[in-house]
Amino acid sequence: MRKIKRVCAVLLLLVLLLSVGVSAGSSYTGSFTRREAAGGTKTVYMPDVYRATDTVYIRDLGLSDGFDKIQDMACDAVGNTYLLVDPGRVIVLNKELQCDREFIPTAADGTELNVEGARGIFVAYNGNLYISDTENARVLRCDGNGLVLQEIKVPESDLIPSDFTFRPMKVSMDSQGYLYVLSDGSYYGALLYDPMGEFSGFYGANSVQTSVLTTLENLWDMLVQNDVKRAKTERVLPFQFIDLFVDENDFVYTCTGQTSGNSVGQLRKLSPGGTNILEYTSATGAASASDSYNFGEKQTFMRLKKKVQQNFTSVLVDDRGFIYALDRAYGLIYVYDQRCTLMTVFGGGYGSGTQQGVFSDACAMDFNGDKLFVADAGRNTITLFEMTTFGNTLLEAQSKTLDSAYTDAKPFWNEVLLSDSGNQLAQRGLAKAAYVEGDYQLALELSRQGRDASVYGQALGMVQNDFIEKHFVWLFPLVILLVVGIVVLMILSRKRSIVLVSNQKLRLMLGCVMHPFRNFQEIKYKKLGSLPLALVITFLFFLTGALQTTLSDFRATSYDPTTYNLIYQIARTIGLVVLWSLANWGVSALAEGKGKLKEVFIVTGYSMLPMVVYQIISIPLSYAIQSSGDLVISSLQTVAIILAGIMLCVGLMTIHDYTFPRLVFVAVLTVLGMILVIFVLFMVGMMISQFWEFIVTVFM
Amino acid sequence: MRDLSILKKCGVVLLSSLLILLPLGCTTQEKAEYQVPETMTLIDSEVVAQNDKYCMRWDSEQNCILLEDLQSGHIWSTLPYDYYLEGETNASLSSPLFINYYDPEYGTVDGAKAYSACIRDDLMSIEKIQGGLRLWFYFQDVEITVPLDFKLREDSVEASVDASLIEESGLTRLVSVTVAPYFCSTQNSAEKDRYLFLPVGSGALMYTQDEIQGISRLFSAELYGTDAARRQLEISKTEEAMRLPVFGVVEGDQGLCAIIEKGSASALIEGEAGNYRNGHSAVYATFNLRGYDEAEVKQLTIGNAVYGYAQIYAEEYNAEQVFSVGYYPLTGAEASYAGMASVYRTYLKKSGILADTSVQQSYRVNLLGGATIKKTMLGFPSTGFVAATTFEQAQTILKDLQEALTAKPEVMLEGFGQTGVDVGQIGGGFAFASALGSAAKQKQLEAYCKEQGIPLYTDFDVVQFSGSGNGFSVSFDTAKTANRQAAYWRPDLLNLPAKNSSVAKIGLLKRSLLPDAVSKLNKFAKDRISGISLSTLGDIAYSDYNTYLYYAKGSMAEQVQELLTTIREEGHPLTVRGGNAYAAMLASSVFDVPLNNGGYDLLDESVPFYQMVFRGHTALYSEPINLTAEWRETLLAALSVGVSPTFMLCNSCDETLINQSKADFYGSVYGNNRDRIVETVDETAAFYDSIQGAELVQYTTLQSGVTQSKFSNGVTVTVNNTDGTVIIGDRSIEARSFVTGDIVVEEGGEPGESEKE
Repeated sequence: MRKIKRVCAVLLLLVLLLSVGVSAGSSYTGSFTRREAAGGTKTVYMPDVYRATDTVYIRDLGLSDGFDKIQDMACDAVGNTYLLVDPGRVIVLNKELQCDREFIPTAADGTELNVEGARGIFVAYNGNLYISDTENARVLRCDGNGLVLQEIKVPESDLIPSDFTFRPMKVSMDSQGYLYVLSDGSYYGALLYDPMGEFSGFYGANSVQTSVLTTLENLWDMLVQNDVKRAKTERVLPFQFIDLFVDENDFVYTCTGQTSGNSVGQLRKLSPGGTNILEYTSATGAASASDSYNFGEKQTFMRLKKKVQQNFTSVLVDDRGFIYALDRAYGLIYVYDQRCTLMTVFGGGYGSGTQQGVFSDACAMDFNGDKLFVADAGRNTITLFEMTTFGNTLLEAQSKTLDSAYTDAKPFWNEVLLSDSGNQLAQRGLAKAAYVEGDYQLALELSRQGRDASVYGQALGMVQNDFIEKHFVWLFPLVILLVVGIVVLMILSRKRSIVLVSNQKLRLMLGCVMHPFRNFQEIKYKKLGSLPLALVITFLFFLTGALQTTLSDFRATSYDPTTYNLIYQIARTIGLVVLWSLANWGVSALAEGKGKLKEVFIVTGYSMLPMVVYQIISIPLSYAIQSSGDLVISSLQTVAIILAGIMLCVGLMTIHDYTFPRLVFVAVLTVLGMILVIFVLFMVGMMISQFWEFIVTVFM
Repeated sequence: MRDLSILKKCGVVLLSSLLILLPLGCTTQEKAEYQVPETMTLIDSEVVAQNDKYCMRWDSEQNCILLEDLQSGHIWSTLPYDYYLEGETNASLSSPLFINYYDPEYGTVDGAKAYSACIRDDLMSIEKIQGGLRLWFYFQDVEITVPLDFKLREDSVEASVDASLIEESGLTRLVSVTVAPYFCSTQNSAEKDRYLFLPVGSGALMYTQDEIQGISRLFSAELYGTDAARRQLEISKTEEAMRLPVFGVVEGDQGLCAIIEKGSASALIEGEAGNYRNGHSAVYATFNLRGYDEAEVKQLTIGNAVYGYAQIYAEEYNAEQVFSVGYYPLTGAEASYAGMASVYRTYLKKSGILADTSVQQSYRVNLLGGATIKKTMLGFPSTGFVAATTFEQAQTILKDLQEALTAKPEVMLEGFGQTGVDVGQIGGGFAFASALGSAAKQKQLEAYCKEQGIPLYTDFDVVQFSGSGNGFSVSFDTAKTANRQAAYWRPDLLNLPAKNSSVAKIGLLKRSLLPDAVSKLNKFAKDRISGISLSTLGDIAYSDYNTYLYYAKGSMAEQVQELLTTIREEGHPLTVRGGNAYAAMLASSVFDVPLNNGGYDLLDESVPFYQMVFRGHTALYSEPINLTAEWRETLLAALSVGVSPTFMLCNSCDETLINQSKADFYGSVYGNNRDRIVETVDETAAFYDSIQGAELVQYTTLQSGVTQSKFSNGVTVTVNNTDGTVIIGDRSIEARSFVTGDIVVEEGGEPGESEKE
């Protein structure tokens, strides 16, 4: 009855408490970066590396004619800024950001060319302007006043596919005069022209991301599809490049805009052969191609129930090799180093910015001297960003660290820490410096703070070596004594039949590890199994699992207190044992198994003993290993799993009186039964959730 | 049997609740009969009121109010005077009132202008009232009647709308009224001696040029910031709020300063510059009669569902309020934003609510107590507290600063409550976190500061809460939005405009419970705390649709003033963040004082209007300069307008605080900042001493990045906030530095040369 009362009370409360709602929110401000922390990367605030110092409103420049919006922007070496605006016009701003001249490209005979729909502008080192006249399928090379010097059209070459449509949208040129042209809709890569203007071929296309699943899918399609079906199948094509940039060493950097699914590999650095050589180096020191690295945000946000996806549309590289990528959708500018380490993110606006430093539709960026110019097509503005003192120190420090000048970088990193006490790059940089200077203890501390597993492991090795060298005189005899002591104790206990554990059930449980057949038979036939002990082991399985997750060294756990889920921990330990026991008992009841539920639970619980021992041992061990990929812990884990498996098999065979093949068969059915139970639980959960939504909808 | 009867009773209660609640959702408001008088009372052109300075006339031809300055002969009019002389009419310019109304049938908000909807169709009547006129506007099509009063006063004209006299039949609902939209207006001009003044941030100017075809710029924002009890769906960056209820226009040697005297919290200030259609620029106040909430709604389309933003308006409004704006003409040298600041300051002094002159220290130190963090104990998740500065450490920091510097700081303890800098119970649970030290240590710190003459404030958040306690329940004591939902919100993720679902939802306390919270604060502070800081009460303005008085942010100013007065009466000096006018005028100091206009696209220039109003009366402190990108630059920007620098400090910063994105901790470790603080204060203390109690009277930009400020005691400071040395008059000012004393600047010529380093 009490339950009924409670249910009624809850329902009454529901009726009265349906004023749930949401209201005012705060918003994003300032620069941020990502930090390796427990449980993965965290987004954290940091001092500004760049700050907006001025905004140029194109409306205030006194233009001769109206225009729609900025399409692209480029700056030359002497400080002029070239704006390509719709419809087809170029506005040139001088160093003082005053309108110097405006022009529509003109042919040699003086006729103005229609370049409406042109999407890109580029200034070459020799002052020539390249306008990507997208809609007219040509690239115009002009002088500084818009006089067309050359028209570059679709090349006549066998290399050009018959269905190729030439819609140039971006152009770049290297120091040798090779011209790279990106064509809208082309997934073959950039069109490369040699200094003589001859087409040399396609350069550096994106590749299609594949996975085991897609490979299997393709294999399946090959086997089962006929030609008609195959013809109707959509082809998966690589994403096209949106922008490219050639650095002073003639390396080509590209960015890919919106990609479907998990966006990865938005930035690439291409070798002369066109392959991606940009590598992401993780905190463990492992390097992998940037193709699988997400340069943007892990999460997306919704606007009017639609996911707003990031769209990298501009890429730049500065003199120190830092890569700048502009995300048009969020208005964010990312700065990465050559190892894909995020230095900072600034900007913002997320499509609706109206204040200095944020954007509504940031379409292009370029360096103008030491300033970073960002054009906003939504507001028709250019925002000028200047690097802050902090930013300069940070980039200088990282630059030196990447050049392995760790000691030189030290004062810079110390300066960085004054303004940003938690700066992880500084901690890592200083850890490296401390390591090369031989201060391993400091390197250990700093690399732990900086979550640099690689330096931490090396420093730990050195500290351990130092310790052993220093204390070898007493350490060695101590170990010998310990080993001898244990051996003597074992021999004595055997000779004198010393019983260390007097409780028979407990002894039986502990003995299951070494003598599973004998002990499980005693459990079955002498009824010496203990339910409380099985419960304790199951609880210990959960507890040691939780402790292993929360207390292990940072290299061995992904524990994050902010997202740690106790329910999940319970489900994967206690829940698993209970579910297995129930499912196995249910299945074996149908498969002539003789074991009772209690016995199944005892066997399953006892079988977790090796896992409990492993989980306890692994905690101190995680602090002692030098490399995060050390084999000791993983080997121990494998041994524990195998032991647990053997115990479980033997135990179940014993209590159910099964042969091994029958056990395997029942085990498979048990797993299926478990899945069924989970499915039913899931369905019940869904129903409750929908019922709740129904109630909320009715009363709201 | 007994059980069954309980079950039945529960069933009956449930059913009756359903029966009561369900019809509420589908009620339709009854429509009253709307009547327009058969004959309209009109008056001929005549002088309505006159005093020594001004003459207010009614013009029956053009249907406008004219205010003549008898000394200068300049005339201000509800219809721009140049247009008046032309004898033309225009739907916007000829309208002394605009309204916005909500049409419940179509769910749309539309506007109506008095001229086209009433005056042109003879739907206006005029009534003489003491010292002025009452104009009745009958918006017959939408069945709304609005009265607008004009009264001449000794030094100004008051335009007001009495909400109790507004009539609506129910066909439509009045949403807002715009009072005398072109009274504060000027003809568009490329000259910079014509501008609109808006109180955005520190103050902003909009110039009135209209050379750009097809572009007129309309800037509109709620006074005291966006209603915090409203869901905001489009967010790009933190807004810079309008903090003072003042706006105005300047045209050469004439100006008009407008002060929103009543209903300021419900007001929006709107500036429209360079309107090329009617050739005028204007700034005016719009009063929200009904508040609204925002929602994403599915729009009726064929095919895929398309969503759009919708405003959900409150059904009722507070009919007991009066909205009024006072217009104060300015002439000669007074016709500038500085003149407006002077008028507003005088207004505050006359009202007797401007705080007595407070001592402004050379610098301010905000000490961060700590924050809550998530952790686990034996695998079980819990919440812990990480101390960043204990009371003892705070005292050590202050002692160290005292030893290194002769100047004394103003000190604020922030995040010393039970949940630290995180929002927890109201007033931080009216207790200190135990990890920060014992009560004895806190008393020691108070005693030390008292002995040393250091003003010490402790910060309390009595507006936001995420935990129940001390008699305030998050479930039951949260304010309501216009949509009748609890005003809960969650902070955004740091990197995205999306809610951070991993933190507890934060509620805004019911407005009617604010006095209770303040009374509990007074009780807690008695004999324990000297100064009180209210970081949120002076900064956040919000509605509460639990009580009709508080609809559309109604009475926020009056209520907060009342509460602050009770705290002052208890003998506690006050400090407030950001400083909305109503709080700043009663506080001893304001921190996080705005130093610019927020960099909005539509605004042309930042001016230190806020500082001109309060400097010399209320101590002003900047945002924490050690957390800004360029310490020196922010310092000089603050110094140039007489604002002292603030330093955000903590004794130590645990790694977990940074990992869990506690914003202010990253650059605030005392040890890292100590030397620069000493250096900075050493350099600037003498200057701040020299302007103690002085008002900022003049602020001139000599060239880009170089400014000159004059204070009422004669001190002048010239600041070069550029990367190069500049030569002003006969003085050379090094990059990023300042000089005090008079510098002769030649009028008309180039103010100085600059030389890039």
